[in-house]
Amino acid sequence: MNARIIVVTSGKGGVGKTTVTANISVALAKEGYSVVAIDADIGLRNLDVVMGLENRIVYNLVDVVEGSCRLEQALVRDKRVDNLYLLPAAQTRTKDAVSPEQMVELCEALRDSYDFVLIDSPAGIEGGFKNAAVAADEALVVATPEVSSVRDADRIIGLLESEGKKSISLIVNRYRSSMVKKGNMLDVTDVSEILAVKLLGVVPEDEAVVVSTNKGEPLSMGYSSPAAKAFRDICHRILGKDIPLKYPDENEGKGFWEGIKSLFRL
Amino acid sequence: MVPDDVAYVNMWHYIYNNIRLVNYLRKVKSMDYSGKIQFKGEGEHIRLIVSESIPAEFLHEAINLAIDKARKLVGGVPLILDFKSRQLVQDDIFGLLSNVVCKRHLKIKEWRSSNEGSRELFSSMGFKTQERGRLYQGRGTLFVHRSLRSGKTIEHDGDVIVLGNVNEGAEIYATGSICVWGRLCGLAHAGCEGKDDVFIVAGCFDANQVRISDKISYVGPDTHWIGKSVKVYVAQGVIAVSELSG
Repeated sequence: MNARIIVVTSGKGGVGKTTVTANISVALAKEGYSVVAIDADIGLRNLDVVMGLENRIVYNLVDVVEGSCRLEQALVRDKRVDNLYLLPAAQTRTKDAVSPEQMVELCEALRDSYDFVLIDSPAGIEGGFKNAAVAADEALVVATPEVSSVRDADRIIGLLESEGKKSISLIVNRYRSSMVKKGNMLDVTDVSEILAVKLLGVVPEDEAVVVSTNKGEPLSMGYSSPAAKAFRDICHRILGKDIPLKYPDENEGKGFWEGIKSLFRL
Repeated sequence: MVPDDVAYVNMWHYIYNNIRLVNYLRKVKSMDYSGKIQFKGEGEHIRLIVSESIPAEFLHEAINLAIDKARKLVGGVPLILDFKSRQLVQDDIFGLLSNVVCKRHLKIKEWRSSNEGSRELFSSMGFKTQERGRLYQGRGTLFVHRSLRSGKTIEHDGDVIVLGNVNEGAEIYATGSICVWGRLCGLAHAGCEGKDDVFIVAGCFDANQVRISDKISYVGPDTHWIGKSVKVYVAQGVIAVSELSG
């Protein structure tokens, strides 16, 4: 095996990096691939909660790089999906606990045994981001259709390009078609035009994301909400399948009466 | 046979003479290097410019000799120590502090260097350093064959032509004019060294602010030429804008 190492990053915080990492990891694992999701947000770990694996953590990433345990001991296996593992971050340490060289060594150790390694990057452009990005072959940049998020994503793409990352794709998260129609939100084409990288998918704003995050069950586990479908489409595009891009409607999948009700709410 | 005590005295005499010779040669060498230190007036201060060609081990001796030569000039005036692009290490600074600054009770107004590492060292040690000056990357006309992303800065001595967009958060400082073929959303500062007869041309103007020479113009979102092709220039001392037709 020769794993594809993908960093999920954004620059700005709160745009959905962790949700995207969790859902894509689950979707890839459900397609039959072996996946390791690494939480590189040392000191502010969240991926374990979103994936619902927080109560099974014994060792973490820092323990591995410091030699306190073996890599296999720190990997938490998700019992709900075959071949899905989480390498959690340490909550009691800071970003300085890991160096870029250690991160490269760690990812290279995973490369031979898994199909995909997804790294959930912390927000910002400092050491934490650099650690997360250094070992990655590909980058998924998550942005919401807001000016501040797009600007930060642009900065991150610039940094990734300067580090020699050739494959950089964009995921537009929390897209609200009703707001776009009213001209209150940036259009996907605007975002895509500014950032000038390959658009991998558009995830609509979806209440189910909040529910699934709180429950620790990523939507890709088998839900049928619009966001769940968007994550599955993104997963298929990562796998090279030709899935046409579409800009989802947040009312999609709500049913006839709910659609009518939301129309009147407008 | 030479008696033991005579041999002992001779040995010490030999070592003493050698040390004197080494010190003498070192002083001669330092005097050579002291010529590579320049003094320049800068307002109420004197800037002591230390050439990069002086080896680190001769640094404080060369500075001391240079200050000795210009004793009357330097006396009591606050100094700016400019190490140009030299990469200083902590030991160099400790050496300078103990052998030059404290020894001579010098008043140091500022520690200056164009080397990023040296500047960081000055800051980390709590010394007052200069704000980073503009480091022009070249002269003449600069063609940028791609869009400038947020965080990218171009500082150029001459005109700049961007064959792409200048995204929000990107900056261009040019001593001459700036031409952006695509969308200008970032900051463009033409004539940044004070030239007024320069202009900014944008294929699609979408910036919040433009600067020409020492003039700044803030652009509101309702300005009618937002999103259009424009030329920005200085007319009668203020920034003027004209739409480009055709």
